[in-house]
Amino acid sequence: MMSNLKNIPADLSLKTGTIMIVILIFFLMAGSFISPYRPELQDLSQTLSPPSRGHPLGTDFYGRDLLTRLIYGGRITLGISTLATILAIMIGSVIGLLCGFFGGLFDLLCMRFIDVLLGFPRIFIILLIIGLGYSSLGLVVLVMALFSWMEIARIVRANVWVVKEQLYIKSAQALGLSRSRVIFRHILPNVSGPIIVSAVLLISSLILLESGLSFLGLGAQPPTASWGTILNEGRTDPLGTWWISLFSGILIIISVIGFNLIGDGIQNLLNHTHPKERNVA
Amino acid sequence: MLPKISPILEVKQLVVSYHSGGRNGHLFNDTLAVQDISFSVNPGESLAIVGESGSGKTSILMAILGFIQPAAGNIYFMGKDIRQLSSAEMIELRHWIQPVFQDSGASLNPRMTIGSILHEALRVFNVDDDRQEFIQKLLTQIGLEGGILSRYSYQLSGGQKQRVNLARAMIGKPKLIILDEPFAAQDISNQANFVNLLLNLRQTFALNYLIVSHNLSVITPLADRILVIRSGQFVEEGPVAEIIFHTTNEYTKTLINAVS
Amino acid sequence: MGSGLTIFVGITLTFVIVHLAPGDPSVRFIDPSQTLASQQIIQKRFGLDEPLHVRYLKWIKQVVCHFDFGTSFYYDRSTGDMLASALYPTILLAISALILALALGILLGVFVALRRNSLFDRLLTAIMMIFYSTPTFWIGVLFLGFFASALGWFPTSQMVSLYHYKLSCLSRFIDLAHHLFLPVLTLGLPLAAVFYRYVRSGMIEALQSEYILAARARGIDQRRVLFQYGLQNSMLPIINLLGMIIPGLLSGAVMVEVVFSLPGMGRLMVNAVFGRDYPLIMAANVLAFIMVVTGNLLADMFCYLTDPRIRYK
Repeated sequence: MMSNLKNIPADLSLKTGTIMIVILIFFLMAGSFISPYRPELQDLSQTLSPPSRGHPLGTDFYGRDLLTRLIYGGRITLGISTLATILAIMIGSVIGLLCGFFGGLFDLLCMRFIDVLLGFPRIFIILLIIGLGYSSLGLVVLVMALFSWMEIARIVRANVWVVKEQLYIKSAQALGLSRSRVIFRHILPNVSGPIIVSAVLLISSLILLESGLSFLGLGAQPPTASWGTILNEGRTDPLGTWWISLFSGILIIISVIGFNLIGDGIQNLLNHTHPKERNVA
Repeated sequence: MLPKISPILEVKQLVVSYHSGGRNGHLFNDTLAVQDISFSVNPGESLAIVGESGSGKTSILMAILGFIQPAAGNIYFMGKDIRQLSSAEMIELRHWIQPVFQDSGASLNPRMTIGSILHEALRVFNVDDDRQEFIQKLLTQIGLEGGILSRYSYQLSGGQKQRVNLARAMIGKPKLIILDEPFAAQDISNQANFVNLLLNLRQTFALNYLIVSHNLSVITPLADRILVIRSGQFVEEGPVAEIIFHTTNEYTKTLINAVS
Repeated sequence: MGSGLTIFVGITLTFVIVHLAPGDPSVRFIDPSQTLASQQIIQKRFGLDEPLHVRYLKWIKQVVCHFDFGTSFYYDRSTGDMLASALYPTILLAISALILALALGILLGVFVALRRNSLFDRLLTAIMMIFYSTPTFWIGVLFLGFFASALGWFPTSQMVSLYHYKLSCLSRFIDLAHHLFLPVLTLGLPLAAVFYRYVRSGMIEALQSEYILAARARGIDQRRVLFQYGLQNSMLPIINLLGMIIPGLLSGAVMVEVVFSLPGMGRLMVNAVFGRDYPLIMAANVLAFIMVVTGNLLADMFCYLTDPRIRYK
C-alpha cells in the first residue's frame, strides 16, 4: 500500500474531504483566537439579532454570540461522535477478530446476539436508555458506542476470513506463534483498512444521530451546547431566526460530508491497491 | 544389533478429503484429495514427492503441518502423533518443522519489513546469540544482502522473496524443511543456483528436506528417495536412482520423459 | 425458525434494558409528601413492588401466551390498543417512503449513470450528497417551515384533516396524501440518496466493463443487455441492504412523526419515554423489534425468490 500511495493520484474525494475536515478542526481548535466572546456570555440587549459586525453569525435567545457557541458546540459534537466511534471500533474489532478467527460455537452465538441487537432501531434503544435515565454526555457516548459496534464486528469478521487463509498467516502459525500474536500482530494490521473506513463513516453517522437526539431533548443539556441543540433552538421560528438553524445546520452538513468523503476516498484507495485481496466493506 | 533409528516424519495411510457440506472429518459429498498414502523421512535423508498438479501433494503438506485435519490416517513427527497433541505441544513441535511455501510473496506479511519478519522468528525460537550478527550471518549464507532488512516484501524480486522464506525457516534450526514447488517460479539458471544453495545449506546445517514438485529432473540432485503419486494415490516409492533409472511404472516413465 | 428465538431474546432484552435504566416511573405519580402507605398502594397498582425476576416471569407469560403487553401507566388504556392504532400511520409512512426512495433512487441513478460527468450528473450527485448528510429532522423542519407554514401549500400537522371522515372516498385519499406528502418526502429523500449512490455506481461499473470488453457497438440490442446486467448488478447490494434499512426507517419515522405531529408509533414511543411509561415503552420496542425481524424475513424471502443462485444451493 505504501508504494501505491505515490503512484495513484490522490482521489478527489479524499482530498476534498480531508481539506474540509482539517479546516473544520482548525476552526474548532482556534476558538479563543477567533472570537472574543465566551459561549455562556449573555447579552440581553442583543437577543436574537441577525448577523452583524459585532456578531458575525448573530446571537441566540439569550444574546449569546452564535459563532462562539458554534465553535464550542462543535467540540462537543465532534468529541462525542469521535469518542463513541473509538469505543465502538475497539469493541467491534475485537469481537470481529475473535469470531472470524475461531469460528465455531462462539462465532455462532455472537452472530445471533448481533442479529438481535441489530433488530432494534437505534433510536428506539437510545430513547429507551437515555430517556429513562438522567442525561449525561458520558451516557450518550456509551449508548451510541454500544449500539454501533455490530456493523464493525461484521465487517472485521468478513475480512478476517479472507486474511486468515493467506499464506503469510499460515507461515506465522507454522512458526509456532501464539494465537493471540497471530491475531493481533498479523491479522489485525491487515484488516485495518476497512476498520478505518468504517470508523470514519461511523463518525459521520453519529454526528447525525447526535443532532437527532438533541432535537428530542436527549443530547447535551443546557448550558452545554452541541450543534444539535443549537439547531434545535432555531426550530421554533425557522424563518424568523434563520441564522441559528442555518449556520449550525451548515456546519453539521459540512462535517458529515467531509467525513463521508474521507471514508469513500480511503475505500477507493484500498480497492485499488489490493485488487487481489479486495477488501470487503 | 543396530539401534532402530526412528524416522523424523512418518505418515501412515493418510486420507485427506474435501467435502462440501457435512461435518468435519465425515465423508460426505467428498473429493478424496489423498488416498491411503504412507511414507517416512529418515534422519539424514531427503524425500521428494512427485506428481502432477492436482495430485494431492499440497494437501499432504498441509496435513503434515497441521493445517488440515485428515479424514483418516496418522502422522508422526519425531515419534509423536500430531493429531493427539494439545495446541501447546503442537506449538513446541513446530520448532522442528518449517515450511517454505510455493507462493513466496504471499508468505510474507505485506505490512512487515523483512527485518521484523526475521526478528520475530528469532524471538519465537529464543535464539540467544547476538541477533544482529546471527541474521547477518544467515543472510550471507543464503545469498542475500543486508540492505534487504529494511524493505518490504513487494519490493523484492521473486528469488529474493524465496530466499527470505528459506532464511526464516532456518532460524529455528529445524530438523525438517518442507518445500512446496520451490522451483516452479524460476528459470533454469536460477533453478541451478537455488539447488546449489539448498545442497550447501543441507550439508552445513544437517537438514532434511521434504520437497514437493512436479519437475523430476530438478529435484534429483536433492532427493535421496522419491515418492510418486497420482490423483492422490500411491504409485511407487524408492531410492532416487532406482526410480529414475529402473522404474517399471508407466506413469513414472511419462513424468521422467516430460522433463528430460 | 431461528426468528422465534430471536424474538424471544429481543423481548427479554427489552425488559432487561428498560429495567436497568435508572429512573422510577412511580415517581411521576407520587407526591413525596404523601404517606408511605399511599406510596405503596400506588406502587402496588403498577406492580412495581414485586421483585424483578417475578416481574420478568409475569411479563414473559403475559406477552407470549396472551400477546398482552399490559396497560399503559399513563394513559390507562391497553397498550395493545394504543399500539394497534399507532401502527397504521407508521407503516404507511415507512412503506410510502421506501417506495418513493426506491423509485427515485433507481430511476435517477440509472438516468445519471448514462450521462456520466455531465453537469446534470455532478449537480444531482451533489444534491443527493447533501440530502444524505443532513439530519432528517432538519429536512422535515425546513419543509414544514417553508412549504407548509410560509407557503401554505401543505397542512402542518396530523395525518388527516378534522373533517376527513365527512369526505367522499376519493377526497379522503387526496386528503391523506396531502397530509403525508411532506413527511414521506422527508423520510424518503435521504434514503433515495442512498439507493441513488448504489445504483449509480453499479450501473457505471457495469457500463464501463462492457465498454472495455465489447468495444464494437452492436447497437440497441447491446444496450438493452447492458441495462439489464447493470441493473441486476446494482440491485444486488440494495436487496442485501433491505434488511438493514428497516431499523433505519423506523428510526427516521420517529423523527418525522415528531416534527409533523403524526400519531404514529414513533411519537408514541417518544411520549412514553418521557412519561416513563414502562408498559408502553416495552410494548412499542417489542413491536418495533418484531417489525424489523418480519421485515428481514420478507427481505430474505424476496432475495430467495429473485436470485436463482441462492435457490439452487
